[in-house]
Amino acid sequence: MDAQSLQTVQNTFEKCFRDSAIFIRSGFSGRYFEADEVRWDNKSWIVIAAGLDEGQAGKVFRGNQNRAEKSLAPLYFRGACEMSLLFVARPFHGDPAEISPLSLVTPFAPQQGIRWLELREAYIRLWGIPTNTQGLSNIRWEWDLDSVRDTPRERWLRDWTTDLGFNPAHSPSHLHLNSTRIETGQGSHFRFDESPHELRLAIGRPNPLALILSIAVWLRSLS
Amino acid sequence: MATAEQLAKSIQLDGQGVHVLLWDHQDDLVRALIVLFAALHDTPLQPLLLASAQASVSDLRKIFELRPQETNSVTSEEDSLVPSRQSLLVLFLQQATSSSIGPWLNGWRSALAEKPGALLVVRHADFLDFQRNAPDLASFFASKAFDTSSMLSIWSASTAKRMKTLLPREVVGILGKLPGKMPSGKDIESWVREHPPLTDQ
Repeated sequence: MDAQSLQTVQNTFEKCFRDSAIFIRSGFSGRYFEADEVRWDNKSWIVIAAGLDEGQAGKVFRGNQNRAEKSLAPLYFRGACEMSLLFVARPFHGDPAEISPLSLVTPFAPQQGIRWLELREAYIRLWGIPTNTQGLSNIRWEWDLDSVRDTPRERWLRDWTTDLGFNPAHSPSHLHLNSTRIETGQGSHFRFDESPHELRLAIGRPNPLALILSIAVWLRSLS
Repeated sequence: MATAEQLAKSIQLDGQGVHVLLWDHQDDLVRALIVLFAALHDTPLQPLLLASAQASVSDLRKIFELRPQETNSVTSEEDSLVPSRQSLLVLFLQQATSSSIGPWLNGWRSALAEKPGALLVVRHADFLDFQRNAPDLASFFASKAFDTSSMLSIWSASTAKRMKTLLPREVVGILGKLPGKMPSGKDIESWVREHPPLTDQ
């Protein structure tokens, strides 16, 4: 992995937020997120992060306490709507068709020379969305392997788990769209888990740039 | 967005001109300087704190040799100095001094840019004000401003070999007069350990 390709990932995320022009992080000289290189499994990854909790920050910004502390600050839309995000990513040069369903390789930015991105950890969380006709309070996309191998509680899903390679009730890449307000505090967010309030919609492997841009388009439309 | 090693390459390739290193937190600045100085191993450096107009002018006069004037109309803003130096000037601008020091540096822009060039270390919060007060000088470094806050901890094996966890005493003395706190040697050691040189993996 060369420095240039990791920087291209950093620059592309930067451009994505700059062009969206709706998120700000006050006091950070126009920076939308903190970034650094990190090693895992003897591979080089880039961390793109804002609004982390302290545990995550210390884990991904190892050896740089200052940058870890700065990564606790989220992005804001209209001062109250809070966005936190984490991507631990590296350009992927293999064939994405051959990867396991429990690995995340997404389309990225072919024009920048990075067609595919491998993500080790990834989420985008939006809390406190301003009043909207859909009544949405928060939107969260997560890449979460915590429960994907668990046997589903639902007996009828068990064969599907074998077929798909993961528990479809808890797909590794899933989207939450909540109208119920969820309490946030110090980065730990209460999870409803198996609750009628919690739709965990399996959405495959979305381009993270497209997720950010589409969220920005919708937020811009809120009057 | 670039790495400190890329800044070093830009300084070495250009061999002259004015580069800018922006910083918000001393922590980022120290890390960037450690990599930069290692990558610039064969370039003599001359660090200098610009804390007030009077002291800065006096210090810079010692570095630049005054060219005999054809006229007697020398003013502070005239670009009338000839450099006679071998070292890359590393000028640390004290915060909130742009309005007093900026015009002087603007006048000396050619002398600053002459071989082997200069690196201006400026706090992010002062950068816009500095450009207003040194507009001609600012036009020299349009694409040569590097931001320590977004630099990735990436360096080559050759730079890693030369990296020291402590900055030169002279630089430490200057940083001690700038706002913020330097990271400890232990912090830097841990950071270097977490970031082995980048290889093609």
